[in-house]
Amino acid sequence: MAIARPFLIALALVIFVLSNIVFFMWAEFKISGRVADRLGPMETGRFHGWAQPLADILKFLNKEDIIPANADKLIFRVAPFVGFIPVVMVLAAIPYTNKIFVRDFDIAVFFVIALSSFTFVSMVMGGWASGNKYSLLGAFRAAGMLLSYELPLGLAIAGVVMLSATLSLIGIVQHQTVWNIVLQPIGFLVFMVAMQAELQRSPFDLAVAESELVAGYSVEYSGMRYAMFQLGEFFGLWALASMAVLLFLGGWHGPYLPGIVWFFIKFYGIFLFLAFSRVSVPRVRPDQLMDLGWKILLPSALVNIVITATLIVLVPHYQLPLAISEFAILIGALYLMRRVLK
Amino acid sequence: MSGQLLAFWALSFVILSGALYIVTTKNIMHAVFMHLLTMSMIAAIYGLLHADFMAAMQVLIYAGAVTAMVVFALMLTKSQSRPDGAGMAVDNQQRGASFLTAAGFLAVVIYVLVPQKWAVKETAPIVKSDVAAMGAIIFKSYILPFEIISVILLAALIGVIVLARKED
Repeated sequence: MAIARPFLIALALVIFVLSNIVFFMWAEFKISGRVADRLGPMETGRFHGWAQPLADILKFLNKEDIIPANADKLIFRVAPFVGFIPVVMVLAAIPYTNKIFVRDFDIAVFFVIALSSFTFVSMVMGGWASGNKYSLLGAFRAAGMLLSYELPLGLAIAGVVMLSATLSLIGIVQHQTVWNIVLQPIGFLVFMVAMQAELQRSPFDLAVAESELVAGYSVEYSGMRYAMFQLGEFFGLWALASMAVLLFLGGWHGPYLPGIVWFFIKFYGIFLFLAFSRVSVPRVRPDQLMDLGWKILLPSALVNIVITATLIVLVPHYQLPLAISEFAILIGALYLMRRVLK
Repeated sequence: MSGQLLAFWALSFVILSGALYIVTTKNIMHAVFMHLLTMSMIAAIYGLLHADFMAAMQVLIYAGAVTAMVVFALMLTKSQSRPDGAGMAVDNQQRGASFLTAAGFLAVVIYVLVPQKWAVKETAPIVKSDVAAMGAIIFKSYILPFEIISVILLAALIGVIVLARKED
């Protein structure tokens, strides 16, 4: 029994996350449908098409696994796993409350960032091995994009880590007497934008842009391997949305309700934000993407780090000055940008 | 044989055969992806030694960033040969010189390492990795090397930008 315990925990965790992901898929269908003045799925499972994602998954399971003649067979087969396994491993590092967690890693933040760097490799592997121009273009777009946005993402997290002086996610949450979003508004904004790029979600989905590249790196994939790329994206969403809650929104802290409820309220808040921003912002061009990443997000993250570090070292009670200066700079920068862009 | 030792030998086998594959394959993309596998397995060895931080850094830098860098370098190279490397040689035909260099290096390694008395215990005590202590060492005792490295990297960064901007 003692040997089986970790496997049972892992199984329970994956089933729990998967059932949530099925709900995500349905909610995204419905939200993007309603925003586009459609109803979304209505037939499958009678009540507002609730069984549509299940039907989709069954369809993927039954599809033929086609491997193109031009493909590099081994790498083509392996690529989805290279992306999928690390994002599932990330689940081990995410705490839901200070009681419900798998393992309190000393370096949880690093663990998550390090494992998410495999996504990029799986996309390049899949895109290159397909032996298709569109997949290769998609893979290179994905490579350029993930690389440029990993930097602001990591630097946005660095500010939070400096405030709490620990890399353990539980430690970071316990340290937040004031939610970090108040102390680190610039970091939070950078994180939220970079997160969407890391997840390859619209408006940053140019690696799989349907109207230009058919489906980018995943053009040649079908059946279960394609579904693994998609599921990997949803697991990544789970991981990064949880990170946003834990790092910036005070994790399981909140009045009256138990911690786990607060965690999922915040978590679904982030999810709703992602679902709406996906359907309300048009897709960016590659050059706009690079401009945003390197000329706006990266300098903002650096400014955030400099302010945070300076105030932590120089001012004994740095919380109020930090919040004031961060918000002042944020509002000033947004005002200036509006003036310039007019 | 303990599980740890078994895992060590299995990982070492994968690492060494992976490294051998990288330098002998003609398909450069296969070499890149095998590099990723090899580096991840080295991270697993750090994990075996309870050096969690080192393992995460190994994955982040070598498996993530270096693989990305090699992929970008490949994007910039113009190859005349077929992508699978058919009909290509993996070396530059200087087998004698490279054999001598490698043999010389091996001799030096043997000369230095074999007479050494290693203080190895059967079971080393497992120390929990302490990131805070590591940070304190880097930023207190070794602050000068750290700063020198960052200045060198900054110089390289500026140099690359200057070289890349030659069109205007």
